[in-house]
Amino acid sequence: MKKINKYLYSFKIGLQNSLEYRFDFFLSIVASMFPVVVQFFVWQAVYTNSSETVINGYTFSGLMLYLVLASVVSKFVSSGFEYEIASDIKNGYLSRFIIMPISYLNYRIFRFFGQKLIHFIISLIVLFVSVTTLHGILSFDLVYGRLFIFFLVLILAVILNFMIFYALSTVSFWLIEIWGVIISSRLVINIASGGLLPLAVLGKHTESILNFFPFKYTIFFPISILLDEVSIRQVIFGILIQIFWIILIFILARIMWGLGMKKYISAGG
Amino acid sequence: MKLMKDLKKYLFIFRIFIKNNLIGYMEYRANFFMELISETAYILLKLVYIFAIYKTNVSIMGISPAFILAIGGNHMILTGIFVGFFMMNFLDMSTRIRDGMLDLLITKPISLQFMVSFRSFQFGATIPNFIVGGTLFFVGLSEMDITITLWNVIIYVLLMISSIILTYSIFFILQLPAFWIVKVGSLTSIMEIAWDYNNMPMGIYGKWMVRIGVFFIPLFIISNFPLLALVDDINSYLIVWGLFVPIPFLILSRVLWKIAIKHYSSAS
Repeated sequence: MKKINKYLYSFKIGLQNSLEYRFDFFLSIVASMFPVVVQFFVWQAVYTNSSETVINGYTFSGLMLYLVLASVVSKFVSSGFEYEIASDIKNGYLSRFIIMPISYLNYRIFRFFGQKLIHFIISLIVLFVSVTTLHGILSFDLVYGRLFIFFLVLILAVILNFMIFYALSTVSFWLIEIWGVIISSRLVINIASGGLLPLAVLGKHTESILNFFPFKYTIFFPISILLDEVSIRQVIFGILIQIFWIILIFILARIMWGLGMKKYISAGG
Repeated sequence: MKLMKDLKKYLFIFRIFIKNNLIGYMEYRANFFMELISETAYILLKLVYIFAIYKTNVSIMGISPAFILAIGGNHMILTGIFVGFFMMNFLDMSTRIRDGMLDLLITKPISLQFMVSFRSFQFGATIPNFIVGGTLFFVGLSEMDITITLWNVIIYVLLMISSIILTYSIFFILQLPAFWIVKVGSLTSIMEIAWDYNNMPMGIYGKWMVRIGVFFIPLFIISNFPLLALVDDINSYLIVWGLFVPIPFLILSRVLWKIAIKHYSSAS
């Protein structure tokens, strides 16, 4: 019972933290919509000047809907704890956790989920408002029946993204300065996940290469469910792949962490 | 005479600031590489975007795909200057105001605005922008199949200089609310987003947006005007406007700074 208690407490830390900065998260979602405005103009110009109505497999309204959903989903699944882990390792704060009867990974997971609970509510509101407004401007079909599967897949996507960035953070054991690595991997992973543009737009070759990576299952896959681009068989298959990647990266992260702890020098005392 | 003396003094101090930065890089080499890596990732992101448009091979309102490459390149060159020379200082400004660190700078016998504007640089971010941007720029231009006269080049260079001054003035003004509100994280993101509107030819934005972006908040003059002048696709009134508009904006940044600094509370 006590064991659960301490993780419940970690969950509460995350929850309180995101309650404190809830407006900041809201603003960051709103800010992420601005690039969509640029894209709106650019693609509108491309579509009106093109003889085709479907480019890269997307109609104009389909693409716009994708971009709006992608900016909200990528904000929602985003991790943001990499700097904290890096600082814990670099400055020796990790020592605190070593002497505590608590697993660092579990602490991070529960804290992360506490944080995501508030983010989930905010994302949901933003998503609802933006999709409803867009529905008035562009006409498109939303399959409401798929909402339930979408949420299920989204939760798995959040866990998967957590694992990816947790594994990435372990690089801090070997590199003292890591901020450039964090920024660049965030950007590259976002592109590879379909957070910038639908993967089909990147070209057939790139898309087929990206199929071998876990990234597309964090943003592209959940959205394609909502946009009714995949059959129910593909959905089930996709969920299995999500779970496969979560387990694989979890094992990888544990191994990396174990190796890293041997390198840990507990700087600063 | 005094003006010359002052100018010499400021150039001397500017050189010292650059030297300090280079010394900093040698001490903390990792930072240089981190700047290089993160900026390269940003460039990759822009490239994906530019090539996605380029690949459609659609001529947008008379704007050829080659022009899109060239403007993306030109914008990257200016981004190299923006992130390399201005951005760090603008980001530091709000921290300095919040923590009361301006106190120390206020006491120095040179302009405070100069001190907060040109103290830190990010050369690691400039290099990849110049290399990739320059390449895109020349590839785009060579694909356009046009003849460029010496006159075009001169106007291009002048408009690039005026773009740099405008960049400084507009984004400096954008940071000034930091004197009134404490957290300016959202201002920074607006700054970055506004900057990237220039990544594309201004013609694609709506008529009203272009008017606002040229005449009220002259953001579109940056990146767009120099290239349009180089390929001879802009009327001379607009060139004159582009060349002179930085002056009032530079003055405005000075005036607003003077007003804002009165609200400095020297916290802590």
